[in-house]
Formats: sequence, C-alpha cells, structure tokens
Amino acid sequence: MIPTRPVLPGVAADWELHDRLPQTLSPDVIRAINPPSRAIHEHRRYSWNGWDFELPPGVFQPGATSRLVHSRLLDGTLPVAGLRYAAMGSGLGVEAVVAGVRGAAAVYALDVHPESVRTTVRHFERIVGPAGPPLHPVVADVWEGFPDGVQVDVVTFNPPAIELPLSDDPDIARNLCVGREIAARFFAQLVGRDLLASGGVVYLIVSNTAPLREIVAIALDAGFGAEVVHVEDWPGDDVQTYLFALRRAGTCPVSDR
Amino acid sequence: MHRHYAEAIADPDLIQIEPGLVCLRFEIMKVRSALGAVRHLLDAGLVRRGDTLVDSSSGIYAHALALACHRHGMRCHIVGSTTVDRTLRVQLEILGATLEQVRPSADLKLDQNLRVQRVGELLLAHPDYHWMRQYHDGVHYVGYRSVADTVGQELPSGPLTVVGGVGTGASTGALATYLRQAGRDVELVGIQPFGSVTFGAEHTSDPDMIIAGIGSSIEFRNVRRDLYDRLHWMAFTYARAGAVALLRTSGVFAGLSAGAAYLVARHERHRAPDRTVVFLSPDTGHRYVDAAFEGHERVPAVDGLAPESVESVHDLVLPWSTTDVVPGSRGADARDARSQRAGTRS
Repeated sequence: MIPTRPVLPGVAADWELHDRLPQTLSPDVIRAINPPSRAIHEHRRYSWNGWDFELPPGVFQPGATSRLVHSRLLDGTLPVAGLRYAAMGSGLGVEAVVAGVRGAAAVYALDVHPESVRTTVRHFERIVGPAGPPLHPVVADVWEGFPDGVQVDVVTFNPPAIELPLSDDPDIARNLCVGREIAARFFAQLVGRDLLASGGVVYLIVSNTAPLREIVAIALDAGFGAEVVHVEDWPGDDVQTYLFALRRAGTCPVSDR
Repeated sequence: MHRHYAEAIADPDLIQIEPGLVCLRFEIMKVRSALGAVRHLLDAGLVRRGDTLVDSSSGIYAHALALACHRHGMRCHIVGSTTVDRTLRVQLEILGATLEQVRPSADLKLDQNLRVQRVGELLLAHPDYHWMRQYHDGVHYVGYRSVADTVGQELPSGPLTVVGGVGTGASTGALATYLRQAGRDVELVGIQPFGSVTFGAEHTSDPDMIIAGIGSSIEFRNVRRDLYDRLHWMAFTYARAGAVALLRTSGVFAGLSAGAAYLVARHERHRAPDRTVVFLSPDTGHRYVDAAFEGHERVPAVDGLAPESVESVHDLVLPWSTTDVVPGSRGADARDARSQRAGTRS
C-alpha cells in the first residue's frame, strides 16, 4: 500500500476530506500495532498530568490515541468551559476529570462497562471535587440508557472501531474492536433522539487501523459536516490518527453564539 | 429425568406437519436461550452463583431468565414496564425474581430507553449485578447449539430451509450458524412484522396489531443480517390465519409468530420442493386466544394466500411481502455477486 500524506487541518472538509483520507491498513499491520495483552485483567495504576488514577480489572488504560484527546481538552483546543460535555466511553475518567477542571457546565460520563463508570466517579470526586461541575454517571450502550430530553454541547468519542477479531477476550474486544457499527449506532441515536444541542460538536478520533473513511462517511450521511482538528502521523509506521470536529450542517458553533 | 422444570420445557419437539414441512415446537423458546446463556456465563467465570442477573423485559425473556436463574442458583432482577401481566408477575414473585416496573411510554423507543436507563442505575449501585443484554449479547446464541444438533440429527440429510420470526435474532441466527458450521446446506428465511426497524421497514405499519416479539423498534445487535437469505413481512391478519390453520391441520396450538412461520414455510416448501423446511414455533397459543383464535370461523383459508415479491423494502405492501434484496443480508450479497459477474461479461 502506498502511504498517503496526512490531510492537515483546513485543507479539506466533508466529502472532499473523506476522499483524501487514507485507506485502512492491512490486517497484519493492525495486528502488529495492537499486540494482545491480558493486562486489563490486573489492577493497574496510571499517571497523567500529575494526576494518579487507579484502574480496577476490566477498566481500559488510555493509549496514545486517548492521550491526544486528553491533551486537546486540557489545552483548550476542544473547548468545554461553560458547556454541557459528554465523554462517550468514559473508561477510567480522564476526559471527565479534565472537563471538570476546565469548567464544563455539566459532565456526562457514559460507558457500557459499569466498573468504568464507577471508576470515573471515584476519580472525578477525588481530583475535581465538590467545587467542580455536576457529574452525571451513566451506564449506557452508546446512547441507549442516556436520559431522554437531555442535550449536550460537546461530545468526545474514541470508538473501538477496529474490525479484526484481535482477541476473544470480551474486555479487550469491547475496548478495541467492535467495528464501524458502533459509529453507526452512535450517530443514528444522537440524531434520532436529538441529543446534541444546536451548534453542538462531536470530536471524533479515529485512526486508519479502523475503517476511517467509512466511519467519516457514516457521520456525513447522518447530516454532519467534518473537518480535521488535528492529525498525528506516528513515526515508524503508516498509522494516521485524525481528530475530527463534526457539526450538524447549518448550525453555528456554540462558542460563536 | 430432567433436573429442573426449565430443562424439561427448554428443548423443542420436531413435528412433521406434512411431508417435507416440520414444526420445531417450543413451549417457551427463550428458556433454551436463557439456560444456555447463564450456564455459559457461569462456566466462563463471568458470574458466580448467587450473583444477580438483570435485564429489561416486559414478557417472555423475564420468565425465561427467572427460570434459568432458579435452575442455577442465581438472583434475577427484571426492569419491566407496567404492562407486565398478572400471570407473569405472580410467577416471577414465586420464583424469587424481583420485578421493577417503570412507567410505560406511548413511544416504544422511549419506553425501552427508560428501562435501560434504570438498568444502568442499578448496575452502578450494585457491582454484583450482571447485565444480560438479551438484544445485543451473543451469549444468547449459545443455548441453541443443542437445538441445531437435534435438527441436524433428526431431519433427513439434504438441504434445509429454516424459517422463523427474527425478533432478537438469536434463535434463527444461531440455528443457521450452527447447522452451517456442521456442514449442512441451510437457507435462512426471516419473518418481520410491518413497522419493524430491523430490516428497514419502519416506514410501514400494520393497522391491526403488531406481532409482538418478532420485530423491533430499536436495532438489535444479535440480528446478524448477513445470515439471512430472504425476508418476509407479514400482517396480523395473515399470521392469525396461519395460527388457526396450523391448529386445524396439525393440532399444534401456537402463537402468531408460529402462524406466520407456518404460512411462510408452506410458501418456501412450494418454492423449493427439494428442500426440507423447518419452521419455529416459539410459544403456545394461550396468550392469543382473544386476539387470534376467537372468531376463527371468519379467518381466511390459507391455501389462497401468497406473498407479493418485491425488489426492496421500499416496495413492501400489506398483508404479505417477500424479498431477498435487503441491504447486508446474505440474499442481497448473493445477488450483488451475480450482478457483478454478469457485468464482467458485457
């Protein structure tokens, strides 16, 4: 496969952006980048930005892709101050903590794994504390289980969209390789139940280890516009990781209002 | 001798309705699925005896899970709507299952979401609760492996057509999967009610009554579209005629899903006489006496009933349509492949 040059922010949007995105890497490359590990079944510790996190068994430890989102939330590239924020797949709770520290109006932490949601609550209470915004922990299968009638302004989502059976272990599969169908459900429910406020934005991070183009197409077909916020071109391999801002067509950003 | 009532009713009977047409008759089909799922979760160490299994259900699955939990020494908690009937409520209480009723909503999607939301709250508060997710977790396929073995052994060798209501996708999907894995030539034919989102018919509706259990207002991940060769959509009036005809000709007293499956099975048998057709009868007819069997003398004879063959779900017409062109289905894939091959010759 001929490496494609990364599409930098501002170069293309929507379907033109889609057409320039790299193809999904070969299965062998994807497997080499994601070697199986049973560590998720252990109790682990994780430190980031001077904060210490405890990870019970079954709770996913952030990788480099997740840290891209964490850093951009922390440095304000992804604004959340004064906004209602939802962390889709809250894991151990770093996004929720950062959003709390950065002054979100409300934080919704969603995960299909109950222990992850409990872990997020513990970290939020310890690091952000009672002075922070209200945290709403929700066990939900994507948006299924998220309360009706509630809207959010900002969502971050790092979907487990690899489409290879990297492991029979359900904890590993849940966190890495559900495939594009999770993106389809995410956007169908978000639009169908009108959960994103007018002017709201979804920050989606996907690499070409997953069906990158197909997932962007799902968002575009669901009525979103797409632009690149950040692209990471990792040294030593052909992986490209894109952080997209996705907005409903015809709405202005909440930060402009 | 069975060790438990759940095991006594879990396995189906194979009943020949006419040559080449076989009814796979269950007392309560989901008991087979629930027993297999709970057994698998215990064997895999994902739950322990005494843990609580929780799910949202307003009917048969609640009963099936309660029985499976009773069999395996598990606790069972059901989040249902207030439409759970008295017969089920009393049985759940005596079996030791707890039932929590959430106010019903006029919108089925909202109703489902409200119940899942409540399940989420329970899971946060109770680390020893396990969420069964009957619509999404493939563990609900496992119990049907033994049924597939029975079908494979008892029916004469040769091609099979399996016909059944799609519902959660577990029963038809599992039977086709396991039979094909065993090397059997299997065509899978699914049945949907008008209005179901599962195969994209949400733009249609049945003015009489939706056949509960075989369709859905939300997407179920246990429905694996690529397993199906052909889909039929059937209205209540025809399913009712099928249920009455099934009872009249064979003595099998079964519900509307079985009635619909009987009609479709007859059609499939006529379409491909060299294939043995086996259709699923998931429950008994007791719940349908007032809605379906009362007034049976006015129900049309089934001999003159046939489906409209349509090109896509956009062309569906009541009371009975069929197509093998459903996006993502096995039938659609086969057709696409044929078209592509035809294209290379031009």
